[in-house]
Amino acid sequence: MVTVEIKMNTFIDEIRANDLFGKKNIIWKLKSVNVLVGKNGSGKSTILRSINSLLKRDTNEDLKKSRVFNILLNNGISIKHTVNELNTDTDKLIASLSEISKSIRGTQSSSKQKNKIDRLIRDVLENKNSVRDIKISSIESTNDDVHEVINSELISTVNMNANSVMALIGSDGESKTILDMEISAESKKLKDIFNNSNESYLEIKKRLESVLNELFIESRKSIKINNGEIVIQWVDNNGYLTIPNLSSGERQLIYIMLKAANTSLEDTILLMDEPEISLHLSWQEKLIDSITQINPNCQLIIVTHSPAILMKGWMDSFVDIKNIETMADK
Amino acid sequence: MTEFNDYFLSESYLESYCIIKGIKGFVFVEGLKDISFWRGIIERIYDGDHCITYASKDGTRGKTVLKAHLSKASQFAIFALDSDFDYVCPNNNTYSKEINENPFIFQTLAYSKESICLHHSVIEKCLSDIRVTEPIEFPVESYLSNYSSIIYDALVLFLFRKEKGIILNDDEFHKKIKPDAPSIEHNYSLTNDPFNEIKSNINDIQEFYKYQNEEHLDFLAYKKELIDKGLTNETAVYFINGHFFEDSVAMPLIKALISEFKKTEFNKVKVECGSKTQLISDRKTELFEYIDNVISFDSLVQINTDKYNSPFALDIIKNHG
Repeated sequence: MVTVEIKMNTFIDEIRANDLFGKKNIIWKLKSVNVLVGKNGSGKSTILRSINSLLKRDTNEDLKKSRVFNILLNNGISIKHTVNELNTDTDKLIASLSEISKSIRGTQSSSKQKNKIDRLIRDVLENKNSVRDIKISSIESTNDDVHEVINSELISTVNMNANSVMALIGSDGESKTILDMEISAESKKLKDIFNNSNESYLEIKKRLESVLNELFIESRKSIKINNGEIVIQWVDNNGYLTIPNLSSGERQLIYIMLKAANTSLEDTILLMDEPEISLHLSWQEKLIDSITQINPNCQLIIVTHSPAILMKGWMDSFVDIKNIETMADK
Repeated sequence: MTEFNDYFLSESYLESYCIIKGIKGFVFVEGLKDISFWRGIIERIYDGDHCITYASKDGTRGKTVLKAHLSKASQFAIFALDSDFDYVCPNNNTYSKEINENPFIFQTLAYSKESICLHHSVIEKCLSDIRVTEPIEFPVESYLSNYSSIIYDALVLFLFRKEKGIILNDDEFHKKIKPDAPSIEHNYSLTNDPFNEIKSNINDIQEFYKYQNEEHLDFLAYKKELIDKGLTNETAVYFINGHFFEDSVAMPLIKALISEFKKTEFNKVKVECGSKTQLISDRKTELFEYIDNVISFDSLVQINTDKYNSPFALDIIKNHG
């Protein structure tokens, strides 16, 4: 029997969001491969970016779209971002702040502190009615070292797609797209693995070459990895190609696979937003298998509108966001 | 805005999808291990390409996954499933009904793929291919037919209760009809009666699943329906749980026969080699490696095409051809 087990030591067990967009709660139990579907504007990408931000301990606007966003790991550790709305009576708040301000005297640094509080008092006085919109966010975790044991990588294909056409002139005078530069950066990481650990590198190289060749044979290309460098040839005449010679879909695929390869040495949550963009149906169908072959140590969380992603054995991995949400209490 | 579930597997969406892929349609099977069997069936029904794919990496969940999408079965999304008890108990649940009524849902018509792949005709052919000097000679058909006749009445009673919507424990039923391991000795003769205990308990088993007197006419009609579906006192074995049939009925017999075959062939080697112990040892290794690997029963079953001529496979092909 083939079973799909999570091979990682640390992975996400559950995602909980309270008051997402101020109107719904999310409870999402995760497996090794998770595909989130649903209508546009339902919060799928927000959830994806919130996971990434929270795992990186980076408070951003997406996290603030939920009152509480909580990641529960399999080892019992919880990482929680909370937005605390200022719920205090404004007059009482001004009185309290004034008391604090009056009590501060003395040093230069306390003077700065006093100025800050006085500014806040002025803000509150000027915006009495909207003071409730002031949000103070905080991240707390039951274990502060959690970011050291779980890595998170977000691949936004929408951005990647734009980056595949946006050309910049490098210092060497050559025109390169942002995606080309990102691929170069990933290639460099692969070279670093090659320089640091030959054993790990050989294993990664074997898996990466095998998967890329299986995919690229469809466009009659073969791929070799020499000392971390990607070498592409036409199958029919052995002519060489460079990365910028490839189509945007091909370059996106190489980038995704390099990301999967470079994160395979540590437990990684790989987050992908609409990876189907620019990919032929047969590549979409092979995407999850390809990534999990290259990197068996990752938990995949994918947001998509494409059924093709699920066609090869992943029909039990998708969840519609409407099935994991409930109305938030008013 | 259309919901994902509305276009996922929908006929209109898949029609375009199939054009892009250059295929006639998809066939969704339960798991990876079902692909080869169903490819054989599909190739005997359709000309041209169908993409045979599977629902879940965990084949044991495949049918459950596909059940959620049964209504989407179409010419572009054929579902190919083990019947389990759905074919013989069409009113057991709403899924059973749909499986039996949708022409684009293919089912095994026996309990499962294993029931067809281990049909007596297939077992006999594969055993006849396991040959070094002498063939294995054993009446597999009558062994399975004998077992069928012993369990037939109990099985029909059990199925009747299920058809009536009564929740029964399938494992409990199968435990009651588990034969003893067959003992095979010289000339492939059976030296015990593996069905003895079942025979002595059969009245209790039937009593356990008995129906109410007022259901008698219903029962007779149902029994007739089962006969029309191919479930008789000679074929009952193919309608019990397929894994149970494989693990507890067919394979114990096959293993015992192959074990006796190895013993017989090895005895011949010993006679040929006389007192040359090293030669005996070398020949034994070679012989057993050949039997276990080159002509292994599992690999012979895998490549055997007689399964597509078994009555169940022929019915699937006829129903959808």
